[in-house]
Amino acid sequence: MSIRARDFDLLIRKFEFRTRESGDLLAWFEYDGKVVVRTKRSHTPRSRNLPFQHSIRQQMKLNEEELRQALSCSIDKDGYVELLRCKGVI
Amino acid sequence: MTMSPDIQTLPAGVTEARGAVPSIGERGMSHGLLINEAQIEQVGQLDLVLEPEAVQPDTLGLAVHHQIQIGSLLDHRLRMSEPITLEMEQEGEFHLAKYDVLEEFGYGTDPISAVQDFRKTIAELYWQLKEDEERLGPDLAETWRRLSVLVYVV
Repeated sequence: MSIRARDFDLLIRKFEFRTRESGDLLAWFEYDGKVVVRTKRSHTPRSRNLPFQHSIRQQMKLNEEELRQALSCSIDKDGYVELLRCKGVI
Repeated sequence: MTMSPDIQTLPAGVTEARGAVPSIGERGMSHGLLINEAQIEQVGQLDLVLEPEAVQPDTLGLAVHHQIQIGSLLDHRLRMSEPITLEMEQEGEFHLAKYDVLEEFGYGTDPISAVQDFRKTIAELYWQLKEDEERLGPDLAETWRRLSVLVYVV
């Protein structure tokens, strides 16, 4: 599956990632005061697919089905935290 | 023409010989790094241009893998304790340089810019994780442990 830049932005807003500009858009997720996940995306136009979505998924600790669910709104921030907990990231 | 000591090509066929080629989808292709002296051109700090050799017509536009070794980062304050081997991929117009040990990648519109982006990314990652060292989750703490073995401050 592909992920557009606007999908990425939607996800990091929904999961409340913090962001910083550094050539790319850097994004990281904090939980309980700890930095637990980090990723980035290029400054691709928002309507275009991001290249190498599998690498972004890997950094966000989501498999393809979980990413699909996240984009279809069936995983919210609490669901994401639970996923990270199950995977030992939290 | 000589290559930068920072980046080295691996012999063609190494990827296949190791038998551990990551794939992209069912139709992903793999190659050892195929490059000859005539294909090497100086471009700033990176002194090589990569061209896949003998790509079959039915593979055009699909992912093609290479491996490239790097031995330095784009930050004069940092050194690497040993070279690392990056996996190269191509997806459409973009090239990716990734290192799964750290789950990090760089990308660009050609292999050189992808490797340069990776070298910049790892330097940024070093300083970011160093700053947050006391408040990293277990996954990033492990990344920091590996990175701090690989990279040190001059």
